[in-house]
Amino acid sequence: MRQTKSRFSRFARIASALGLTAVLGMGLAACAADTATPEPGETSSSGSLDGNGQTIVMFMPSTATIYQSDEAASIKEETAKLGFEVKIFENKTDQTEQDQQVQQFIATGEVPAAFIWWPSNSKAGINSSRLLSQIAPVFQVNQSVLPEGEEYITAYAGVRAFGIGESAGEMLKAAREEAIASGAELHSEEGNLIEITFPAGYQSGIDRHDGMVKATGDEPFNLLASEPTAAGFDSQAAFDIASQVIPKYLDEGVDFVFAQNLSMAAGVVTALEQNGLTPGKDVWVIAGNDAGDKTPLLNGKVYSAVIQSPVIEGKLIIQTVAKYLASGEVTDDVVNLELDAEEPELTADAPAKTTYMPNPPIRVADIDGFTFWGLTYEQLGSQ
Amino acid sequence: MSTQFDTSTVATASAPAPRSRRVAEFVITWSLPLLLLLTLIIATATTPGFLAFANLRGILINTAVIGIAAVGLTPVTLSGNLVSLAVTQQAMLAAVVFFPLLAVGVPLPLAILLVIVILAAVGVAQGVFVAVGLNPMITTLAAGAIIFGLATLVTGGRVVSAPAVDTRWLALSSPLGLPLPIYIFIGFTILTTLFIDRTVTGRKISLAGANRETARLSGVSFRSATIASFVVLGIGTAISGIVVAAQAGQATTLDLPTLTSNVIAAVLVGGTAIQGGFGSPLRSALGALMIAIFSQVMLLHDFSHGVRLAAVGALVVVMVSVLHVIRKKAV
Repeated sequence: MRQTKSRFSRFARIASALGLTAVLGMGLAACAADTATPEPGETSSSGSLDGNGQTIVMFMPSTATIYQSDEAASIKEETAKLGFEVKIFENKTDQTEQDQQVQQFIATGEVPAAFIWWPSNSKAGINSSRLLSQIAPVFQVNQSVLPEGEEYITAYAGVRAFGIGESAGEMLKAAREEAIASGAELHSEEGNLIEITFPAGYQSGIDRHDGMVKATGDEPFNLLASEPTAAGFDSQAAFDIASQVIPKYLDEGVDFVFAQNLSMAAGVVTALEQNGLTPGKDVWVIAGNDAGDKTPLLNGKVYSAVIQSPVIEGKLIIQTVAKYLASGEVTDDVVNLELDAEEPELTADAPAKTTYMPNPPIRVADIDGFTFWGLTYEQLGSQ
Repeated sequence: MSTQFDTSTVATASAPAPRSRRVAEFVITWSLPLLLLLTLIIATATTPGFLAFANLRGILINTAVIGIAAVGLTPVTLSGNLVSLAVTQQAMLAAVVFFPLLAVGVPLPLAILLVIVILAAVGVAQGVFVAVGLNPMITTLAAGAIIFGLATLVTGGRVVSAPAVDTRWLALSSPLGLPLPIYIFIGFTILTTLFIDRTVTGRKISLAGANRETARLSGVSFRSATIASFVVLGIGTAISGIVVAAQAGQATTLDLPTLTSNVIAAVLVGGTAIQGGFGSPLRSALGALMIAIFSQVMLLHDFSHGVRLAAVGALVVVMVSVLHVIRKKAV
């Protein structure tokens, strides 16, 4: 009797499981039928830049930093202007957390007009971009698209970290010319250079380094050291590593320091001064993008920085989405935008597969009267 | 050097042979100074430029911020409350509050005092919760999240600074060639060590951590000892944050992401027992110094960043494991 009951129980469990699977299968099939979505490349074109209340969903790092905060504000403003709704999911610059957010969003079954994807880690985030691309077209911003993830990204628009490195490299060469012209004696024929980079493995830092090396390739520097911060992109993180590295090379002589952003350059300046060096006189500090307090740039202790505007990047990515939804396609071009004083008129033609915003260098003398897309230097954000 | 001993296990374990115990006590007390000395000798012998004044100054500068916070954390650990997981957020809060105070015209000495009072109050708030029985790790983890959230809300993620007020002299003034933060670090270490060793409250903090029940029977309040220890941590993180602000010239809520782990590492390498009762602020200061020397020697030998991080991690594991085993044998 007990054996019969046991067999019946097992049969009942198997039958229940099969039944449940069948119901779930039918349910999923029904959902799939209801929410059948076109492939990213097959989105039907609306012909209009008007968003008609469609939703754009964005995944990005936390707005606890000014760059992300300004970019999120710019995105909200631009989406409102074009008639879209936007939902933003923030993470603490943690790819695992961002991946979970993607899974949770997919589970809701919502189908937006497009996704904007700002991965915390370009490589580790590829699978999430793949999953998102099966629902709606994915537009990547800020972090460059890696070759292995290209097929999941409809288009990229935003900063070109390599270009920031190139601009900084050009400014390194300009600083060297200026130093020599002013009678400074460099510690080697090329000039001794120390580089303080973003944390090891951060793609934007790698790109900036490569850009700087390429720009100075024809007239290279004597690169003494390229050291990453232990963690973080802030002034104190750069100060910590600079105050370790600079004493090591004091005897050899330090002529130039490249810090990958302006906040970090401020920490480098303090470390140099604590070691008895005067920035702008004994040593020249060149910054990457101009995030952070502008004081070191304004007082001349930092020779130059590179403009990376979150306001422009926010506008650009939304305009790219709008153009795609209007035209239904992207071109294979790679477009480097010019530094236009006025914002170009937005047209409903196909956006380029890759659009880079300009990253011009800036020195204190250039700030007054500077305009980019109708915005003054202060209005470009990240202040 | 302070030599409080863990009496909690003394009471329950059978005493080992006096000679082996004396040897173990000697090792526990002097292992860090001896290891520090050995490291210095090896570094001097193998590393060109190690004894250069600029290099030694660099090591001390690198020790200052972590060392001040580690010295501040030590009473919390000594009192039997493990560690705080909000060190980063407290130091960040100090820096983020410091600049706006200066920007609205508060004189520098008063701004420093206010930041210390605010962070001491933050310490009291956490100490009260821990004293009534909440887990210190969970309490401080939650406190860190609240501080970060509120600071981010108020600043909107913006970089805070006070360009009109000169604070950089705090980082750049160099009596006898050593920047002021180094003197602040040494001064805070001496004061905190004296507080723990020479004051009634300090001794109560150690006793509360050594054996809570014995302390209670002796009339020592675990609650007041806990609150006092968190106040010291608040003061330490306030000073640490002000030094960071002076060095960086600006602050954001995302600053100092690794401070908590670095400070805990310094306390543990210093040999303060994680379960409380044994240790001293001076030991934590030496622990921070030890890590800075170790890291600098590897940098001078051109070890890569990854190798340096891994080696410092290994140093922490070895020191904590060895001291734990010896301490067990000693009692």
